[in-house]
Amino acid sequence: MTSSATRKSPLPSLRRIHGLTLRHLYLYKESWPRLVEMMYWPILNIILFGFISMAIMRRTGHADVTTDAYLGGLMLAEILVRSSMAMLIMYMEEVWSRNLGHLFASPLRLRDYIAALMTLSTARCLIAVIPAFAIVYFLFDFSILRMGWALPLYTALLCFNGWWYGMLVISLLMRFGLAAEWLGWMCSWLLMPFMAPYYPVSILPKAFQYISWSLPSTYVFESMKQQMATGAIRFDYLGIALALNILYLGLAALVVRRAFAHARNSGGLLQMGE
Amino acid sequence: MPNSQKAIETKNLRKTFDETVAVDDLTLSITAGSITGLLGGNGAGKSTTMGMMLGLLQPTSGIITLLGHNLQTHREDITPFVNFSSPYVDLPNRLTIRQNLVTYGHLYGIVDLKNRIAELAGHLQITALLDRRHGTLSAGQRTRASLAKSLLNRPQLLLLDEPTASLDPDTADWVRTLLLDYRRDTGATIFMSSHNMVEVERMCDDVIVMKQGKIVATGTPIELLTRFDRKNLEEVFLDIVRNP
Repeated sequence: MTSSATRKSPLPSLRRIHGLTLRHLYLYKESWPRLVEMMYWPILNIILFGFISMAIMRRTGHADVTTDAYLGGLMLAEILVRSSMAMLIMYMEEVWSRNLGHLFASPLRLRDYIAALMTLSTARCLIAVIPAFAIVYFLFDFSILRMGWALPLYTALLCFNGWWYGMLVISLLMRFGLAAEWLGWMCSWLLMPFMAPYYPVSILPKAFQYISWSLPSTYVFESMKQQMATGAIRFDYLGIALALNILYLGLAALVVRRAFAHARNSGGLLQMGE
Repeated sequence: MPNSQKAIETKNLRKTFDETVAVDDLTLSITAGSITGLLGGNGAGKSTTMGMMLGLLQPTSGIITLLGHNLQTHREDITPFVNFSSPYVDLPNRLTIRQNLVTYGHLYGIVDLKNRIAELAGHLQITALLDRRHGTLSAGQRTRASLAKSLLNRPQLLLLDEPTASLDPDTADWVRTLLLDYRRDTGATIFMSSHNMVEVERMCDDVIVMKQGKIVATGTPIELLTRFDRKNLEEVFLDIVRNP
């Protein structure tokens, strides 16, 4: 064996991550509808729910602080959803193009693949939400930059949340094949009501509140809401969000490994396709 | 570089899908540098065997040794030296040939990738097609693009699933010549499944015939013709497949 072949590393390979990154960059370069679609939904959601919230606030005469918290929640929720959905979309691109066999017969390892998806999902998420944030600024006179230097912390924690959640959704597809595709899309929104991005957790039924407080993103949204109301950032909440994210990422890694092993056993890597 | 007298060895390889036995107690040994044809009717277990050798399918039991290393425990050592092509596993249609080759060049860790792509493109006569999307190529062009991907890392072991399926006789002949040249120039081992008996007779040093997941005949093409007292491999194949 050559030395390069025998140098095993438990870390993902940067060269292979780079290769997969190029593969998806090429795809977007060659397909402008994909690029438009990427930005379309966040913009549509934010405009639609932004105006709805403005109308309700005006009628009920709520303070500006409530509007800010709502718009902030709307924007941060987009970061979370786009991050996890990006993981799913990029996995589905390989399934649709029947390319999984080529990928996993190459030196690509599962950890390289997941690391590449994480990198790409963050990039894809930012490209998707930044135009929407600019629109919020012009339409609703609200800048997400008002969150100050807490914004990168919120963004990082929500992307982190999107990674492990995206891994769980991908596991579902690896385990059950294309039959679970629509379940995958639904799952991307499944936890949203529990995360309380637009309303206080206390409004949820007691049983839902237990679920809510077990999710890292809930702590991020609560911190943001308090910051919008009082200016104070809840670092204790952000610490809990980080700890939960690490815990769930570890669990998601185990789940995705099992799902991948199942796909290898059942022939899913060879048979999945359009 | 892997150094083994045997490029492929399997021992008691078995694969089941629920109650169905796809490959049953498969023990074989392929000499390094040879071209071996894997024959069998539909559902004989050829693709399952290939899938297991590529690490895309987990055997239910048994051992696969490629280039002297156990595939189960040394996959990372083996994959840089192996590649494959199959009409049933696609390359992304939206990407151009060049983009696909660049992607896989990074995955296989190819040094001097730009020159390697240019060299392969010249060799496979796809230089003018490099910037065409894979999805817009004809069947023959797609086969050549897929072969370019499979030769990118100069594999010591090349696994080919029906390399000339759906090609016209001229293109198919061109592909066969290319593969024979590759083996001659590099000493690589080629393990290929095919339904084209003329192709197998022309290219293969050894032939393995599978039926219902088991090996039912092995030997050189001439040995098989003699043993079955037939004029060509097609008759041998029909003999084996039709008789219980």
